[in-house]
Amino acid sequence: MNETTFQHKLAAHCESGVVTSLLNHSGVDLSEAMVFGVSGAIFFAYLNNPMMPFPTIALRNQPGKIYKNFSKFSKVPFQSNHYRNVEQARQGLDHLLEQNKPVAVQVDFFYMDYVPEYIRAHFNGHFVIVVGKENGHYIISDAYTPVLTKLAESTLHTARFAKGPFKPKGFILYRNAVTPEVHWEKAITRGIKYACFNMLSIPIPFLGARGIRYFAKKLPGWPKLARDEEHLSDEIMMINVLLEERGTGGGGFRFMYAAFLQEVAGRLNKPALNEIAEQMMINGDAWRLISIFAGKIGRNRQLDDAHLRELAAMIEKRADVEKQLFTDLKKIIR
Amino acid sequence: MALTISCIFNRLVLVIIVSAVIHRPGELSVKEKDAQFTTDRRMIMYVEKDNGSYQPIETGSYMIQNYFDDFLEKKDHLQKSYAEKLRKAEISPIEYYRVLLNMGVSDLAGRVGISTRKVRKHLLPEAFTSIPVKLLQRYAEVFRIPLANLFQLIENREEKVIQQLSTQNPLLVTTKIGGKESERNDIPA
Repeated sequence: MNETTFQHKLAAHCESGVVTSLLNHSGVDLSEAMVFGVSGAIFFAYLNNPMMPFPTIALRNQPGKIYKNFSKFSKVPFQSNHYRNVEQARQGLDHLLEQNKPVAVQVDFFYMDYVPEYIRAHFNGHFVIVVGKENGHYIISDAYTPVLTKLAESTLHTARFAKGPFKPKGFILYRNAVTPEVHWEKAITRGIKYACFNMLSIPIPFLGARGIRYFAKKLPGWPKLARDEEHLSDEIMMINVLLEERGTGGGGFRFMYAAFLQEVAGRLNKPALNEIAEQMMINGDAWRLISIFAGKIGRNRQLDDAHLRELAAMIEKRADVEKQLFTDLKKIIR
Repeated sequence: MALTISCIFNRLVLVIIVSAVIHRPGELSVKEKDAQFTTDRRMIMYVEKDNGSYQPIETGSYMIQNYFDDFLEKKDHLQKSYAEKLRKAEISPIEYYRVLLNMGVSDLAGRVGISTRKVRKHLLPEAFTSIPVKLLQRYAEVFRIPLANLFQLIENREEKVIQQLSTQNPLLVTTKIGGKESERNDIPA
């Protein structure tokens, strides 16, 4: 069983953590911030559709894009597969584990029995690494748990074939090949350009920097959508959870992106990136103040129009700042 | 005039609150020393180290440390109020579990494999009685509860260990009340 050789690590985010762990295991020494940055995952979206019980925000692009973009931009190969049914998926996974390969799988987070019940929710975009199998249980490396953990075989397969949005269809991801020589400068440049495009140029009002402004505009209308005061309080406090707690590394991924920019400033020999990294860190801190403020007004039930507008004003300021930041970044990287 | 003064006063109060948030030592901030939390739930946060580099550190949850009691209280109120609606037959058990699990109607429909229109209908108590058992089973699978729990609420006032164990009969669950916590079967029914 290769759980003895696999180095389990906590990570800020599940998908970037999984990709980083697979790379590290296969001898590619890379930080999670680099994986996140090269894949151009930083984003903003205000989402309000019938799939969701209440409007929400996303601070990275859609699940599955990190490994795809990372592989595309860096040309580091990953092997992946989908399966038609549970039996094939079980055989495929077990076969790879017998070869001592750690295998990343996409799952519905609701079935991760090792996390506390209060944080479990149906979300098909969670990624974990399976590193072994014993006595009817898989040994799981989850970026959100400090140590390796176990999950019943049947539960994992149910989680791999959950229905609904982003359904995993038994998805697996692993590494086979020897890593070719990577032109990191090219990969980093492509990742940054991709992120700048997403933040600045998508002509849809609820995406990118425009999306932040859209969020600020919509926020004062949330009381009309809530069942009652406690529901509204819960949703306002959820802003804090989404920005800080749900696998972002804090400040809605902005700190991790700042770490990436700081790391690549030397590699690309562009000292101006250090300045952008610093601005990104300040930006992340401002997002953190937004989350703290949201937590406080939610807790104290200060959910009147004045407080919501104050929160909205803080958010709207981020739209201006991020628009400027990514415009500057685009100029530097051009 | 009074309104303007009131507005200025409100803003002043808000500025003071935000300033307090910014400057309170030990509160969440970008500096490493301010991002140390001691909850059981561990997570990675990126912070500014003393040497000016931006690095990940392992820490706990700010929300759990500060607001967990409020979260549990709201969850408890929600469960109680929706259980009451269920008892009064104002909602169906499908709606009860949907709300407790914070699921959108379309999301639930996609997971059960039926149309959103049908799910909306099933949220009403009068339509619940005509749902085929097979479909109820699919709902129960999505909610991850025994089928029997769509027809009952279990109140555990004495906080005894309650285990619901699946049987070979997919419609039947054995509910064991009492026993030791260590004997609990981890695999849910």
